[in-house]
Amino acid sequence: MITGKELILACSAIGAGLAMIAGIGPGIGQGYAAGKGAESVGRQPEAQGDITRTMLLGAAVAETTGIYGLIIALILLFANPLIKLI
Amino acid sequence: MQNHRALLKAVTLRSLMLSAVFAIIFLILFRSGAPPYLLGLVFGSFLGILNFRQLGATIEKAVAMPPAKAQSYVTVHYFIRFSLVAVAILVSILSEQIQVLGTVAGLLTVKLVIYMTQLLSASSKSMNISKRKEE
Repeated sequence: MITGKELILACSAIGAGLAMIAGIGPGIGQGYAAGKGAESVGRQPEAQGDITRTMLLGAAVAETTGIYGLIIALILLFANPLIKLI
Repeated sequence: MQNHRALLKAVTLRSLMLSAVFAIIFLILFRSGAPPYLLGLVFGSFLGILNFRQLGATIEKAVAMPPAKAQSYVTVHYFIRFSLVAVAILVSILSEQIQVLGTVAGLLTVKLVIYMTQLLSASSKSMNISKRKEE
């Protein structure tokens, strides 16, 4: 027989796993942007400063969603607020 | 390259200023219960700034590489930074002395600074355009 607490724990683990998927996207996106950035520096070396600056800001903002997912996953696993409700 | 270094410096300085604002807000909100939040804020903002500087170093190196190599280099370094952030959040969740809310606020100060700077510069640009149209 599955109790309410066990069900919550199981669903939380699944939820944490799903939330961690959010961390993969920014990594792939940043890599793709860096590849394109390197390509554009090769085409126009004098614009390296501007390209680096724009990429830096874009990459820093893109990381945010990954961090959100990570926080949700870790809270679900180690400080689950739903367990206290039972 | 000078451009990029100045940006790193400016964002770091503004993040520290925003962290100080958050610290004042935590002190007002939680009064005697503020120390765990402040400790978390210091921990989080230190890690957030370190993370941003590491990102800067990674990108500076990546733009000088061949595209395929740059792609894998940046992706690998992203996952290294991501796991460092994971360790920091885990430590703040498990530790009694640190509040996770403070750590999260500290980690996101750099992002908030970037959003605010870009929004302010965009709004000042649009105001200038509307002024010119009126003239």
